[in-house]
Amino acid sequence: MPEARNGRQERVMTRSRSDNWRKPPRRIESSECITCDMCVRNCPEEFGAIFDRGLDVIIIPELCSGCPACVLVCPVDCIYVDADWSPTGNDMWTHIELTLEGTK
Amino acid sequence: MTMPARRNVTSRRVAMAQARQSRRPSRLGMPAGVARAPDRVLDLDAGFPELLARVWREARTAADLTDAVQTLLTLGDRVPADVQLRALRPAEECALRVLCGISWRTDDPSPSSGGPPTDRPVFLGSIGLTTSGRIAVGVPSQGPLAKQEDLVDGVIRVPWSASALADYQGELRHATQTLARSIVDCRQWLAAEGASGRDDLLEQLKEAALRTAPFVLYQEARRYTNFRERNNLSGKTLWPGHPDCALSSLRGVPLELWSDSDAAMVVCLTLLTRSAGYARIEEANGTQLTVDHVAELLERTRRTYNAVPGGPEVPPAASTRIEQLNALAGALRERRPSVGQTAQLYREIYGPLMHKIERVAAAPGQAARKAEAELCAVLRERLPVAGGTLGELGAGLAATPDWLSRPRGDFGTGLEAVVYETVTAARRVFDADFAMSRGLRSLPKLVQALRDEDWPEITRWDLPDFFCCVVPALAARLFFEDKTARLSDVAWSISARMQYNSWHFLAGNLPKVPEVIARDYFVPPTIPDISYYSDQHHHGHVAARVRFSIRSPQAVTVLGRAFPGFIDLRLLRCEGPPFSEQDLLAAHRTSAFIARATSLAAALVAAGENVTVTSFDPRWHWEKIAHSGPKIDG
Repeated sequence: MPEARNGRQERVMTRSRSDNWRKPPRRIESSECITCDMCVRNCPEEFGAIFDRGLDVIIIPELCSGCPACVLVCPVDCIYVDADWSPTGNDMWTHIELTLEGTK
Repeated sequence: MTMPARRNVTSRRVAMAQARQSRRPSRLGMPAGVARAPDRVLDLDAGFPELLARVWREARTAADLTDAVQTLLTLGDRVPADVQLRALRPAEECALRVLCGISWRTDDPSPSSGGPPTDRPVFLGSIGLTTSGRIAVGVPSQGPLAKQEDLVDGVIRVPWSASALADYQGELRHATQTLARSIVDCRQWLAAEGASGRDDLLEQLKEAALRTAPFVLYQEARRYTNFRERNNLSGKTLWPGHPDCALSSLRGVPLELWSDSDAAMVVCLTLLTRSAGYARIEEANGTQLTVDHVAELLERTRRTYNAVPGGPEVPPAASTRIEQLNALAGALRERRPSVGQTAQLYREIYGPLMHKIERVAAAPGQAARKAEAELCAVLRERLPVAGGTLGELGAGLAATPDWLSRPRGDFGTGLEAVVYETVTAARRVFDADFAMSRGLRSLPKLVQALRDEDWPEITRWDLPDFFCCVVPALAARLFFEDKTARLSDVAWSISARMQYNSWHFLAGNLPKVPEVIARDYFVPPTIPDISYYSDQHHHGHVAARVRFSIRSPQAVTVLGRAFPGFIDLRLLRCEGPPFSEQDLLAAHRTSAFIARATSLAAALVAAGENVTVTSFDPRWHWEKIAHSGPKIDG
């Protein structure tokens, strides 16, 4: 799915969310998350929006289309709609950029 | 009559509708992901930050410096002071030796200039507590502590007398020389390994960091970690080969360009892993990773192993030179299996620092025998078993195992009844707030995959392919807003996390084919442990109030292949006293009983029976806990 991957690459490079996505992104409530990584493993490759960071598992709102893939596999239902999302910080983007094709 | 194609469509729709349902017990029947807000949100400071803030307040109001230091070293009686003393940088270690007369070293007397200075202080130092829990000491010529460390909240000023300063100078000179010699030795040893040998070491250590629990180690103020905050070792955050991994970034780099701390880190981690495998690294957690610390850990382990009868005596290292320590590490690794055959090895875990200590348990005493007798009495009532010990009950199972594959009571198989009744009995006998046991749902699928040697198939299984039966005390609802619905949710979240642990360990038992290597897995645990104050770091531990626990992993044999860590029994207390070594010994015999039943069930499957665990899903936990009232107390 090279086209989809290019879409992700563009979102990572521009650090911005697709204008075509109508749904808000999702977020993981760390108080309820058991860090089983089911969401990480099941986030579609074309989005690649979920990362482990220290003790937390986090969704990068700029990369999350709001699709329900993670919600459907979460064993504890701790993933919520994040209509008021905040932009991702530079440190995290530096980390994410390494996941672009050929670097991970 | 429904046509087959339509039936397939219908069943797919049903399956999809089920997949869309929330798995949280109190939200059963609702679609997943539609709740507008979490049921509750933990304070950002809950757990470790809160503990550190409390400890710091206690230290600030202590009667004197010695009391304050003692409070900080033990984090308010929650960890052994010895661990925190090993976390001190060499200069800090010298300072505490002269100011308070305390040291982890037992081989030389600690000079102490003792108490507050009687004359005018010649230097005003400080102590603080770092946000990683380490005590920090402000020493001469290092500037303000707050500028060098992330402190919980300010410092306590410490006046130094002229004699303290003079003693410190002498101590520091000696410590600096010792450290410098050890770095030279590390570099010489690494040089002798050659470039490809060093690359091999780095690969082995990356694998160790990846396949075992997170760790936090220090070299002076530099932190090597794959845990909280900014990681610099491979683990969940940094994948293998990540350029920010301190190990990956050394590959192919000439030794001359390695920093002293990197050289010492690679050598010390190598010594630790060579002495017992990856898990030994966690025995250095929270401490300075220096050669003399590792030498002391190996020597302490040597004395512990030699105290166990049988097996060859391990001689001490002739010196703390790396070559000698490497030989000692190898000898300990060789000796360890025979120690484990004669006595029960286990680990103590100090949750705030995740520090582990390997212990050899005493023989089971009256308390362990009493607990086992009580367990057996309950199991004789509830299951078709006979005998006065768990060994006898297990032998009876082995003699007539057929009922394990047949329905029993509310359960589809006798194996599920064994799991549930044993967990329930253990919760009561050990006075735990929660007890649990985990495993694989479909033994037939495993037997088939093993016969086909289809290792990739096993790596594809995910959380729903595993189970964990969690049984709380009804009274435990008091820790969770006095609501059984909330207790049910907590029990299920624990269960789901344990399913993850089974998922994480199973692949570690498989041949290292590419699909297995690519899979996220941990090396399965082989010895039990007792944890103290584990409700500090992991959000799940904080939320579920996992304060004191016993984890007792056991191997299960399937088609002649042993799977270490395939099942376990865990006991948890949210408050009250910690579990004891005698509790652990009895709990380990209890988990062995469940493991034996599981191995017998696997043998039945190999002979053509079907043993599949269908219980212990969210609905089961909801009905058993939220709807059953006092029944859950057995």
